[in-house]
Amino acid sequence: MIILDTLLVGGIKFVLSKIVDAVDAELNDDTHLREELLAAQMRLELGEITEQDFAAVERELLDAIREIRGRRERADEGPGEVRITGIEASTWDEDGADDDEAADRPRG
Amino acid sequence: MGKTTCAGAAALARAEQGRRVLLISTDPAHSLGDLLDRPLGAAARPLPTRRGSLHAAELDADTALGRFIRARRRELARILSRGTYLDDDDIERLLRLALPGVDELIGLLELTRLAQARPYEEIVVDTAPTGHTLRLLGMPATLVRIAEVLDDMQAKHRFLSESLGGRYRPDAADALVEEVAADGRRLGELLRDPARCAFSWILLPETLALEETKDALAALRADGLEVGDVIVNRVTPRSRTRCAVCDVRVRAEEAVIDATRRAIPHHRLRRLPALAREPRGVRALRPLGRMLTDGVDVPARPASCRRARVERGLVPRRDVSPPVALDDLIPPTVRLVLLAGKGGVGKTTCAAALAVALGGRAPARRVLVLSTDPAHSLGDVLEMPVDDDVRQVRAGSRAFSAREVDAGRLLTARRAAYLDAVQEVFDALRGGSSFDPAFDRVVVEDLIDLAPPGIDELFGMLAVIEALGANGPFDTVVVDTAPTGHALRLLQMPDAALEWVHAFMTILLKYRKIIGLGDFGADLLGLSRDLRRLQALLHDRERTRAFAVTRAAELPRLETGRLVKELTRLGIPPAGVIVNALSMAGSKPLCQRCQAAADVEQRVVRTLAIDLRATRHRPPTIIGAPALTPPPRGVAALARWQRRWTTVAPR
Repeated sequence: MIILDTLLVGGIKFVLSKIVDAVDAELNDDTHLREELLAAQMRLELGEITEQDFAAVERELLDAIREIRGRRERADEGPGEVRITGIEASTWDEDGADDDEAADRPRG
Repeated sequence: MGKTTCAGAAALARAEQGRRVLLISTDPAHSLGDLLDRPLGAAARPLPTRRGSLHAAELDADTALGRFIRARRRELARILSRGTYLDDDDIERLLRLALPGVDELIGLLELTRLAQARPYEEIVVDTAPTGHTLRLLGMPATLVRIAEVLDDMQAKHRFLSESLGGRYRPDAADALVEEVAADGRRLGELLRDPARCAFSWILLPETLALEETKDALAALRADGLEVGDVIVNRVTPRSRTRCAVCDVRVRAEEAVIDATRRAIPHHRLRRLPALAREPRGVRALRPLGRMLTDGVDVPARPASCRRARVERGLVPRRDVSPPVALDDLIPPTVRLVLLAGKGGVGKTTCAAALAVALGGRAPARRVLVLSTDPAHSLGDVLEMPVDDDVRQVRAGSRAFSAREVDAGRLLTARRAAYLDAVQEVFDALRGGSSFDPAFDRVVVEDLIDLAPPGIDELFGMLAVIEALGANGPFDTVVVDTAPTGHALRLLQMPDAALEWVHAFMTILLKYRKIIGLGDFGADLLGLSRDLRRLQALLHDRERTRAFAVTRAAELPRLETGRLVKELTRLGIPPAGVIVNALSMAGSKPLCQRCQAAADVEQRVVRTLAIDLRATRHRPPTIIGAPALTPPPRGVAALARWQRRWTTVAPR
């Protein structure tokens, strides 16, 4: 519902700028990884996942966080950070249908 | 302090003047059935009267709330679905959750429902003790607020209907909003209309009770509610012969009654004598009812008397009653000490005395005495200012801390913090666009602004977590709870709160792609872990000691039996029952009345011991705390008094 309202009022331009932010964040920001970690902790607390499931997710996320940190440190020393400068829109074709996750990810 | 007895006697007297009267108890720990000596329930039952008619009932808040929600489930779900982003599954889950603080929320509504069932002319209500009665009387305003929140939830739907369809037609959901608002308004007006509603205030002739009365009458007046009669109950009659007990007691009580007259000069003060036999059953209540209606007023000019300040009780016979060893009562491993019991039995005095004793133990441990009863008297017992900030108490070699939880203040502080957070979320949602989800903002702000019922239990529980949690600053916390019904609500709170926290976590996870988890998610996770730790602590017999505090009289004994059963059912079987204000067998001469009273006490304690043996495989220890006149106040007196507690082994 929120997305619908926003689309109606804020317009397509607003959404596209959000997507740029999101991709930028995915590559250079560990905030969403921390959020994933918190989500996993909450699922463990709720008993939705087992200790083993949680340990696996935690390992994966901590590795990713370390990688971003490393990239950030390297960026401080010189160019290397991935920058998003624009976004190219295209229609989803049939190969997007076989994977929901892929369909959620914008391509550019 | 005899609320139930006075309510019963007054209702009977009014009925026998030829009226149709309903007598109803809204205290979650009912003792009306005990008083009338017959089983009562949520449906009104007739009682034998000489004239008029009298029906009596004990409110069952959980069932009443269930019935209220079931009858309105469709409309409530519709409003929630229109006003929030929750789907049907989320809404079903939320509507199924147990509501803490249900007694106050539903009490007045249920009263109205029962009152309309038959053409009663008068309803006499026996309420819960002070703190929660103040909450109950504040409930009409809360109902109006709830209606406003529901109405705001409807606003977006109304706006969209008008925008799309041109005209909005109110439906069943709007009718429900109007029903709740009208109930709130009507009850609020009824309580403030002196022609239709009269409050009587009942207190014992004790300093602590007077302090509580002064605070409560001021709070009621500030809310536009006027108390009529003030009844001083259980006043010791003057003895014709010399007596070690009542001579001192009469002087002390007269001093308190004198102070009461000066403190509340505009109220009609009446007194009821302490009866040799506790009245139980309709017949026994009749003379008391006549006393109440005929009225024995306290003379405007009380007889002159000196302020009695003699700490004197009967000397316990140590040969038959061994003193209580503190380490047996509360071993050093214990982290949580809970005291529960009927209103006016001396819970706060016992809690303070235990904190004083624990604060003097070597090696030193950090001890906190925490009052969770909204009508606090810890400061009065310790004879020092105590408030919501943790305060250090030092007296000689004794050191401990004290705190009276102020739920209202804590809620205001949280509100401010959460309102800021909500502004942030909505500003982030706008993301620079000119679109403001105004309807949603209003609903969330409304929800934060709405004081949840049961805030005293909620913040009481959080205060325990704060003191004992992962990095808690205290080794042992002594909790002085509100009287029985709400003490049990406090102990049920961790379970109820955990269900709510888990429901919120599930919903937040479901919508996290849209709104994110943020600090709220982290808060919920932390709270969930804290609550599970508290549950584990409560059920750990090595680390938690619960005590039921009572007096050696019939109604408290019956309530104590139920309290012990209920605590055991909750997985917190009490380690001891403290029988407070016990006349110990001594060598000093007693008047006939006091001797008879002491004999009655002995009989009650014997029956209590039999009750306890029947309820539990390992019955709780019975501890006798001697009667002092006036009761002990201040650290030194409390320490002396606690050392005189004995193990009572009735033969």
